[in-house]
Amino acid sequence: MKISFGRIIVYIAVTLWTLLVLLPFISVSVFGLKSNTAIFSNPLGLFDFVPIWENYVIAWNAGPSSDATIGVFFVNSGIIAITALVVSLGLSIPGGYFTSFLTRKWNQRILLFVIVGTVVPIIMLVIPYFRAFNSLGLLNNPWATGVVYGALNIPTAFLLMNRFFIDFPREMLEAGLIDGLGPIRTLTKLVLPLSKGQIVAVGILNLVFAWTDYQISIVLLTSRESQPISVGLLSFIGDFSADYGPMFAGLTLASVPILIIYIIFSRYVTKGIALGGISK
Amino acid sequence: MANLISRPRVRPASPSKLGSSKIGLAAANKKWAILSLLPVFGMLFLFLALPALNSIWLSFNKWPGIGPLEYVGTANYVSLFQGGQLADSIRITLLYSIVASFFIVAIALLLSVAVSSNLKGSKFFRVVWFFPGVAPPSAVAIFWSLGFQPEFGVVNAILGRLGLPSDNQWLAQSSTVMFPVIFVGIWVGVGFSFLILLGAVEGVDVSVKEAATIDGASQRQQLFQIIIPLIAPVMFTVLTLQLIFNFNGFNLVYAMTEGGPGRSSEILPIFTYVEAFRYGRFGPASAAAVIAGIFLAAIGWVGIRLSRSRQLD
Repeated sequence: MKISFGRIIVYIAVTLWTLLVLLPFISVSVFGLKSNTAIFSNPLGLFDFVPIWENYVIAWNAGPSSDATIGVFFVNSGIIAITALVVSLGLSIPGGYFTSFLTRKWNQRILLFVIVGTVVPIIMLVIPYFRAFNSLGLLNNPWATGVVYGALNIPTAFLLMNRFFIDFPREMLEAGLIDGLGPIRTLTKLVLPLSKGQIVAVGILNLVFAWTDYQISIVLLTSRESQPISVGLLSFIGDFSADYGPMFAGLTLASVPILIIYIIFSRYVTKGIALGGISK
Repeated sequence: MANLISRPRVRPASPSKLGSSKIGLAAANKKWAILSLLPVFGMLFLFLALPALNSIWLSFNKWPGIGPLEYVGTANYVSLFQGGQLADSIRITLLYSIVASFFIVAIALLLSVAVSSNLKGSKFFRVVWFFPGVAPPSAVAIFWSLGFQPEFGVVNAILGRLGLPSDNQWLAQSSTVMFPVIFVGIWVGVGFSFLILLGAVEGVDVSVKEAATIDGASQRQQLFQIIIPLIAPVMFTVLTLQLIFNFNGFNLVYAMTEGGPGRSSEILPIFTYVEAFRYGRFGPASAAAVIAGIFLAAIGWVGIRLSRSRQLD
């Protein structure tokens, strides 16, 4: 087989891009196990050093004060992410499901109404959020911030769930109705177990937003002990005052949970983006 | 053409019994549709509609962060335009958004054509190339800020090895700060566009490609004369999404530069944040946010028009 010039360009492009994407992730996780001297003397060396696992312990306990360590930031991120998931999925699944029984015209109208919400840029929202949260005494409360992230996830989640439920086989639902399952039990007993893949895909898209975004939390969570890791990282370099090993360990800690969840469920996520990414 | 050849799917005429039970299904769930939509609309009203309107109202008021509002008419807008700082910020935002988005879509197109023409390993690339889009932007920004560090950063080191100038100040200098910012914006954005474009490229009918190969079209001809025109609507949609996404690119840019040095990398979302939360000028900040909203609506509107008009061709 003759290898064409175009083919060679394709291979070079694919290889270069893969390296450009992967090398930063590899080097961050390796640097996290190195001492300062090892990082500077041979940054690209992957095997010629003694791993310092302690860097991770130092990183976990490091931070501006004892009640604002990376461990604390981590827990706050978890609170925000889980609250956001409960709000967006808890409202979008029943909403998207029951809307799919309306006439096509009404379903489309409701969908359009919900999607319009994604047009509003976050910068137009943060100052009103700040004013409202300030007067309600909800600043520095990660749970309340989680509700905001959940609400902002509703349009995407609703759209993706609704699209999925429209294609759900109607014969099965009719069987449920005939068997005397009420609408709610049809949803919980029959539909939900068969919708796991879609729920996981939507959930992860929401999770990535709630875990990584900080445009809202930087405004609503100003005291350091209430901040998530996405905000906590911002003053990272200063916090570690050039002790780079633990700093890279901290970067790894901040990125690894979301990357692992993504890798495990990537099958659903990439499909979900190809289908519904258009809406975001 | 291909659609004419493929077998038409005939729907069996539904018996009247099934039809009536479908109505039964709709009737049984209608009440629940209304009940389940109430909280959805309630949340969208509370967290999207109300704050958006409030933001427009704030843009006509003076508020230093405490106390009551003071109505000032269009003074906030006038002062923003007279100061010249808003114009600078708009210029920086458009530069960043347009350049980054253009490269993102071009690279994503190249990669999606590459992967779809050689299916081996496409699953691997699909997963790995989206890593930068999943990692927290603040972590990504810290890594690359160190990468662009003048003395020990990896970028200057590589440039030095290649015999190019290796004493670039990058983030420390207002004349060069946008290069690393745009570079990292591209690095983060390609994965998402790639996934959508790959779906579109793979959706191009195989028989169309086969017909072209039989007709003796080279690969390059296939790419420019068949694949790209066919996926043009998706390309315009992706470009629009990237323009909007990067226009809003607060997370990445703020973590890399905080808008500096000086105000030389203050894209509009950072301008708004800094005006409000650093200088306590909430009125002008809201006006800038409204202006950003108008820009975004315009980008979205043009994008939709373009992708629609392409679809009709």
